[in-house]
Amino acid sequence: MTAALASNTLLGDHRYCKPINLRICYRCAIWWESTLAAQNKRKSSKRRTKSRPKQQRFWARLRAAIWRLVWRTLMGLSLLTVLLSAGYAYYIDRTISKTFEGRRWSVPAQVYAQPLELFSGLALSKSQFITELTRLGYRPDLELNSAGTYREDSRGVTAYLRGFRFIDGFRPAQILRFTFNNRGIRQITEPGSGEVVLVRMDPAKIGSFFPSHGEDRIVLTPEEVPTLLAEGLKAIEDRNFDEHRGFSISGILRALIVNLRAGATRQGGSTLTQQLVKSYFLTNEQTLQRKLRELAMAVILELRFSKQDLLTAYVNEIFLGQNGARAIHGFGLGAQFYFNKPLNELGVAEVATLISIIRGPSYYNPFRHPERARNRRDRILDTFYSDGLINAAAHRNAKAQPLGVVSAAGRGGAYYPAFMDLVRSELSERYSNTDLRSQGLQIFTTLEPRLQENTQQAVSRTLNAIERERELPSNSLQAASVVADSQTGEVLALVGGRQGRVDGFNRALNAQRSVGSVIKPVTVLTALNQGMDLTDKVVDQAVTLPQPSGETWAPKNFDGKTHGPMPMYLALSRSLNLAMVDLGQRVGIENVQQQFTTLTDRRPNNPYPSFLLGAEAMSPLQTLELYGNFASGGFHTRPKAVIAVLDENGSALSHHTFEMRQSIQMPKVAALNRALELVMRRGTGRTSPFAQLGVAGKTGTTNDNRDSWFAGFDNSHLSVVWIGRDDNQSTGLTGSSGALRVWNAMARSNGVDPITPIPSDDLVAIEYTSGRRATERCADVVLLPVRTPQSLAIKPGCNIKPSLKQRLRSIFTDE
Amino acid sequence: MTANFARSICLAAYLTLAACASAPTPNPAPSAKAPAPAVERRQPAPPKTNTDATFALLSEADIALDAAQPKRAILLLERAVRIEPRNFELWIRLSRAHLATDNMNAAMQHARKAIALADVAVGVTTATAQAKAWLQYAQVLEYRGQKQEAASIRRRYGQQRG
Repeated sequence: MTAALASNTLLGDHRYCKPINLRICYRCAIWWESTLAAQNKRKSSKRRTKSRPKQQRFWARLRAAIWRLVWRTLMGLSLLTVLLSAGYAYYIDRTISKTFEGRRWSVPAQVYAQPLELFSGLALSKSQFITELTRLGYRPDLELNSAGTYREDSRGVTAYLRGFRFIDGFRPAQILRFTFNNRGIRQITEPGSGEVVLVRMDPAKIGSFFPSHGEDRIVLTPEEVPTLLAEGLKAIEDRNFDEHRGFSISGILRALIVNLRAGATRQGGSTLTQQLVKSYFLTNEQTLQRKLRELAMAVILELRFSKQDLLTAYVNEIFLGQNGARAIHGFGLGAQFYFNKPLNELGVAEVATLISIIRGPSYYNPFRHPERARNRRDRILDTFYSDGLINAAAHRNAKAQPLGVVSAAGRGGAYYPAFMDLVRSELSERYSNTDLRSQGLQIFTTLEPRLQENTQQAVSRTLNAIERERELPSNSLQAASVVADSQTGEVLALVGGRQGRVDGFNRALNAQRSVGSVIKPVTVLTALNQGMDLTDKVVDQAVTLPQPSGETWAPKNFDGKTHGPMPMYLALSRSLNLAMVDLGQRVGIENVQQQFTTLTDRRPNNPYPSFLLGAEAMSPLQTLELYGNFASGGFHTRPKAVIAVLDENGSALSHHTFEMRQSIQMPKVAALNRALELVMRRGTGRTSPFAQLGVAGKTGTTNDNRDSWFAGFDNSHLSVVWIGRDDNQSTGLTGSSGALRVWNAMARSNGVDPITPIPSDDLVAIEYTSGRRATERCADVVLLPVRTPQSLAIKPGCNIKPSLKQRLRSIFTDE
Repeated sequence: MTANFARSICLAAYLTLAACASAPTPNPAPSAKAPAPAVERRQPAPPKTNTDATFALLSEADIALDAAQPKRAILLLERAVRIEPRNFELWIRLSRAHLATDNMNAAMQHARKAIALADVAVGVTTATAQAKAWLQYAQVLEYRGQKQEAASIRRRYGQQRG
């Protein structure tokens, strides 16, 4: 360092000497003196300036201060703007990238109905089969060019079934020939291979677990997006999509010119990316601020993601219409909603129709404005042709086709929100909401679409008819219905209100209403379990019971009369309240309640004797659970809606196997069911046209006719129907005049499968009205299982030879 | 008065006869054997479906069980039950499949279900159907360690199996 200084001073550079050591540098001292002199000279010059006029100095200083202030402010603002912009860009980037990533791969769980099993001997006519094919979105095609088509001829149907991955494996697409006879399917063959014993149709998709804001979608992968759709979207919505970086100046200018010429907004200048941003993150407000945000977000998305990612996200996201509370998003669901078929089966005209809807899902709604939608579709087809996306023949053919949208009633992507509530409730025990909404699960359920449609129609039409006949205010009545498999407890149909396909209060699951006489079989079963016979006597007489509150309870029969002693089955058949209270008191109300708990796995809410007459609030689904014990021959099953859940790769996550617990011994349930058959044949259910066919059931009516119930079953199906009003006012309906009518309508559509009778050796002929033993030679006879028939009184004139004991007893008992 | 007199005479006569009789008083004929009126009598209906389809699934399930794939067997058998829910044979097989997965409760309940449905089995005699179902139940009991009960059931139904 010293050497360097020395070298510098020798060369004449003395700037560094002063701080080091002046004493060692003579030349430095000279330089330092000269510098001081120069400074003194400047000071003296300043003193001379002071002599200028004060005003001039003031303005000069002010100017300088202002310039300094302006300059510094500008610099500060610029710095602040840069910092804020950087922060905002960082914030937007973090936010939208995260949201975009999350949402792009959020695949809602897809829910499927039970597939239709087809086999030789199945009672399914040709026309019914074609109805099922149509329901699944199969279309007639003489050439059978692709899966999802069928060809009908005089002898049968040839169908090109879609491939599908079921719980137990994949069934590839295959062409099958179905022939029919007057009983149903005669034979199924695969051309070139021979007879097929059993085949499953692909199941109907009945919904998905979309987020709570009501957006449904079928998420497609990039490979699943048809080329025509991708190229068509670019041609119609964003010609420079492959080149621009989120926004297109030329596009904006073009739109500006078009709109200025037209004097109105005719064309948008937004790119696909901007439209995607608007749909994902922004609202529809028309402000500069929103537009700027849209631009910023579009640019960031373009920087972050590939063009293919953005286009696929657009295909999955764009809004295409509204179905009640459900927003239809994306082309996958749009294809199902408007054409009832998968996107990959759409023709040229259908793709053009879907693209036409983007510009205004309401304005170009093909259901409400078919002419307008068709005109736009044709213009889009012209663009397809002029851009070389389709050839002349395809262009000509497509323009000749009608819109081809399917009517609302048969619209695919069937939507059963009430049943989905049950699925959601069942799955909530095993899966989180996040799993259901984002993990791409496949959920196979027990729903039978045909049964569901029939049940919904039966409910809606019967309620309309009742309101019309009784001159009730329109839509004043409400209803719910559940249908399950008699043996397995699997729920096959569930109607939550008179209007199907509408989200809202689900009465089948959530309406807690008094069940009335529907509960009476529990008391009868308790008596049977205590060793009583159906023919044992109960007494229908006035009764007054003290209540814990100090008041008294004095129930009455529906007709206000009393009927004296009678056999237990008759009291049930006629639904006599006083006789049931007598029986309940005899067997013990606590025992009846214990029996109820055994049958339903839940304790009753009402501990008082009024429980015996159905003063117990239950939902239709809980009532179904109760009657499932009877319909299944004595087994308790929880009503079940889910068969299995697969992950996105098709691996089983859970298999919901049949679960049951024997709750009633066979002879007891057989006796009870026989009594419930009598309710239909001879009792309160006798007005049903199906009453004599071998069905069992029980009607129920609550105080002031607020609730009308029916629970009934045959060999195949167990059904529960409730009718009432949401404001809990009187309907004026009994179980027979209300709910039973709905069940009749259901049975008319779904058919009746008569209950397999108990072997006749176990049955005893009984005179219906008296409960005495009889024979076929006697009138008014029913067959009942009786443990101790020898104890029964004998009806005179039936040619039954009584034992000596009976003869003696008849003498002593005045029988 | 007349009725009371008649009752007294009858009672006396009955007691005298009863005391003198060497044979037991004949029981009244079991009412179950009494001919039932035609108005209510029905022949047991044929099964709703009893098809090649069900048997194909059943056979496939048997193969899966032999191959130690009980979960697959359960899937196939439940599919068959949805086609033919009152076929007791299917419930017996389901019980077996659940036994193979060590689900004792399901195996037990499905065997009971088979017993309940055997009463209305068609295509085999009720006795044979009952025997098959009870023997499956015995097998479940044995797995549960209730060997005496299982042996008792086997003794009772072993000969009846078709």
